[in-house]
Parts: sequence; C-alpha cells; structure tokens
Amino acid sequence: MRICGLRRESASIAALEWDERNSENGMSTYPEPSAAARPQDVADDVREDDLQHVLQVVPRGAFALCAIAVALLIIFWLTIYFGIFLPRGPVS
Amino acid sequence: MNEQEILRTELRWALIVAGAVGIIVAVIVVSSAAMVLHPPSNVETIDPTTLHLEGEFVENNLGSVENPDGTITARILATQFMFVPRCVVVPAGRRVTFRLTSPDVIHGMLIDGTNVNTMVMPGYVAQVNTTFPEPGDRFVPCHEYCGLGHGGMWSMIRVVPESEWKPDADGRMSCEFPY
Ligand SMILES: [Cu+2]
Repeated sequence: MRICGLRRESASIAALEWDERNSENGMSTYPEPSAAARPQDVADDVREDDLQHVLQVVPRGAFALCAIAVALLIIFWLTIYFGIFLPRGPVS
Repeated sequence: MNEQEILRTELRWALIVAGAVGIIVAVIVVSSAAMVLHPPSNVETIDPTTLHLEGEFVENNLGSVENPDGTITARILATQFMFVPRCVVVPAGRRVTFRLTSPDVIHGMLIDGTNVNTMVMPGYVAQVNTTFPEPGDRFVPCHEYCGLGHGGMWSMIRVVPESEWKPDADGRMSCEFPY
C-alpha cells in the first residue's frame, strides 16, 4: 500500500484512520510506513525509479558545482596576479 | 551509477584539477621568464655591533644616494623602534637598491603598493631592487614584531618626479621637512 503524494502529516492521519478501520482484535494490520514517533520525523516516501533517476542526476549537479567553484578560483587568481601583483612592479 | 562510472568521473575531475594547477604554474613560469622575475636573495653578513662606527651604515651614509651609473642606492637602518632615516627620497622611473640592516632585533620592511617586502636581520644586509613607476609618498611599516614600540615603527619613501630629483654634490638628497 502506497501513500505516495500525501504530505507527511496527512500520511500519519491516514495511518490512524487506517488503524481504526482495519484493526483486528486491537492489532493493527496497517503496513507501517515508519517507526518514527512524530509525523515530522517520518521519511519521505520514494519510488524506486525516482530514486534511480535522482542518483543519475546528482553527480552532474556536483560536477557543475565543483566546476563553477574551481573556475571562479582560477579567475580570481589570474585577476590578482595580473591586476595587482604584476602592476606593483618587479623586485629582485 | 555504478562503481566504474564513479571512478571514471573522479579521474575526469582529477584531470580537470591538474589542468587548473597547470594553467597557474604555466602563467607563473612564463611571466617570470619573460619579465625576469625572481625573489630577492642576498646573503651578506655585517657586524651588528659596529654599525654606528664604521662601514656603509654609519649615520651620515644613510638615506638615498645616486650612483655613477644613475641608479639609486637607499641605505636604511631598522632599529627599535624606528627606521633611520624616517623618510627617504628617490626619483621615479629609476632602479632603486634598498640596503637595510638592524643593530638589535629582527625587523621587517615593506613598501605599500609595491612588491618590496623583506625581513631585516641583525648580522645580515637585506637587499631589494625595484623601480617606482609613479611619484608619491609610500608608507613603510615594520612588519616583524620587534617589541613594545613596534606599532609606531614606520617610515616613508617619497618618490619624486625626475625633475624634482636634485641631489647635492655628493649625490645625496633628503626629504624636505615637514613630511
Ligand atoms: Cu621593528
């Protein structure tokens, strides 16, 4: 049973309602989504193919972030070298 | 993404980083070779106990002097807690050789707005060559903690246009007071 698409609070409410409707001798037959005590601690429900999709995309984002950071580093270094160090004149 | 793909990504990234380091090293090597840049190095010892009695750092030999070839030599004594003299005049556009030493503890000297930056150690002569392209006053602090008066230890390099460089018969020129 999936409750994908519901927000976490409503997911727990749905779980409680399920409990009321589907208890046998006081024992819940609800397939528990989480053992967390509070609704905000319940993990997001993830579909397997969504997970695979994200795992394919994340390295590309990390790569883009690293590339931008290193590119900025080199640009700043070149700016300081040619903009400040060399104009200050040679010493020997 | 399997392990091989992760490994390949890491290798690719390592190549990019190596390329970045290569660019920086290449810029340094090419510009250093083309402009003959190298760090100042001068190993020359001097007896710190007799500086005031004999040799080039006696009081009346301090300050800037024009050499026969037109270059300038500026001799400065770095002492607790001042530079002697407090102000040195040099002409713009000429090669200036700074020679410094200390009779007491380790001092430092840097000239604001230039790459001149050296330690001044007792027993050694620190020497730095440079050229000032523009006239103006340059602040020169001591940058090596030398005692309680360190914060007040500073001097000035007054770079004057060639037309205002008027040395006396000995080739010397001092700052006009007040500076
Ligand atoms: Cu000092």
